[in-house]
Amino acid sequence: MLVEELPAVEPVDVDWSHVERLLPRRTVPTPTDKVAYPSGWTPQRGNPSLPYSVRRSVNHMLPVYLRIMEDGVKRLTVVRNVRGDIWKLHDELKRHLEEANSRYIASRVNEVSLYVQFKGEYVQQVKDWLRERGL
Amino acid sequence: MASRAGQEKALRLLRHLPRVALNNIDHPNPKPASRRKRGAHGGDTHGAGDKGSKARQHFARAGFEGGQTPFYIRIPREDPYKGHHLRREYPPVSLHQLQLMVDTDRVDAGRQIDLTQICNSGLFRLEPLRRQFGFQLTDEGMDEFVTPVNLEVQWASERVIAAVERAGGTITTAFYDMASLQAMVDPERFFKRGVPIPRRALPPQDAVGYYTDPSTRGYLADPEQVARHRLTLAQKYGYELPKVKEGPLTERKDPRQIFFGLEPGWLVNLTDKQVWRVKDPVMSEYFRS
Repeated sequence: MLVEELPAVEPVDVDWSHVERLLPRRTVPTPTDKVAYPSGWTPQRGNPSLPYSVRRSVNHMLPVYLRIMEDGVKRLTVVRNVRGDIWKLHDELKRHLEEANSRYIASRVNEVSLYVQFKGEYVQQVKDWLRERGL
Repeated sequence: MASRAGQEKALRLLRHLPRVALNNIDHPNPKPASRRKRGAHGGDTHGAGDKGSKARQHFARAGFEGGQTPFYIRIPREDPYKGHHLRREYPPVSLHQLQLMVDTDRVDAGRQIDLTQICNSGLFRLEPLRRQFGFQLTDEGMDEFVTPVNLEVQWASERVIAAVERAGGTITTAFYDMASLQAMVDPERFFKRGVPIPRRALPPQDAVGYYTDPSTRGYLADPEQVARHRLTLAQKYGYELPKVKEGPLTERKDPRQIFFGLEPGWLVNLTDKQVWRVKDPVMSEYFRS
């Protein structure tokens, strides 16, 4: 199409903030401090009294995941990115989960990849336990 | 009738015997275990009879019923995927996820949260080319939803509408056609194409009923009817309907508009931060109608 054939245009005076609102952020925002978080999410406050901590994900979420394997039969709860004394975290968390669920829970610690695994589905309980400690 | 002594002896015996089960009582056996055809009495034709196609392992094709119309031809076909390419999909977003997005500032609760805002959060992806026409709001986490928000989704159930309105917010269900969706899902990419903002089309025939219905908060419904339904829904679910102030919580788009503050037919230049519109009266009349 030739430039002469294109329709004539005129500029429009518009509030550019309307356009900026449509453009996405390039980075994940840091959540601001609020009085309450109705969804149950809490920011990481840190706990210097504990010899361990967990690194939050890029989206500021706790690194506790459910791995479902063997076509839904095998379920593992994984706590990733554990820093500090990983065995201490494992022992305390295992004691808490076994008491709360009144059963033996098989577990595994990987010191190289820094994760702790529990056999079963305990994601919410682990997250609540970590949140109580401000991690 | 056995004597008293005999009965007692039997009961005493029963205490030491194993539990009664099928393998230790006498019962009829309609299906005795099959035995191989071997030896003097099983040999010779080995159960195949004399001659015939069966004896010579030359059977008819599977399903053949001696000439009678077979079962697999007699029963009519059913197409489970018939028209699948015409069915619209609405990927779910739960109220819990929405509350989490608001808590972690992934989405701005001060302005309307529509399809573009949910996609821009980076947590949800919509693919219009896979017949995904927008988001539906699900009821997971509706008991913990307390933030007043101005929502615009493509489908929501009655309970979800009640949960949003109970928190003091507003919800609208709106339809976007394919061209509008392409623009809304990635506005930056759309503006870079140099194509004017499309005029939103009206919903197709099978969706008109949903989007003109005030009980589903359709964007084409009468606002007065919608207000009445807000009251009746509050009465039905037994909550006090909070007063919603005129402002960001009540801002609505025109039925032909897809972006706030920008009209259809306008061209956005991101580099020069300039918006253009066509001078031609016929074209501008079309876009403005």
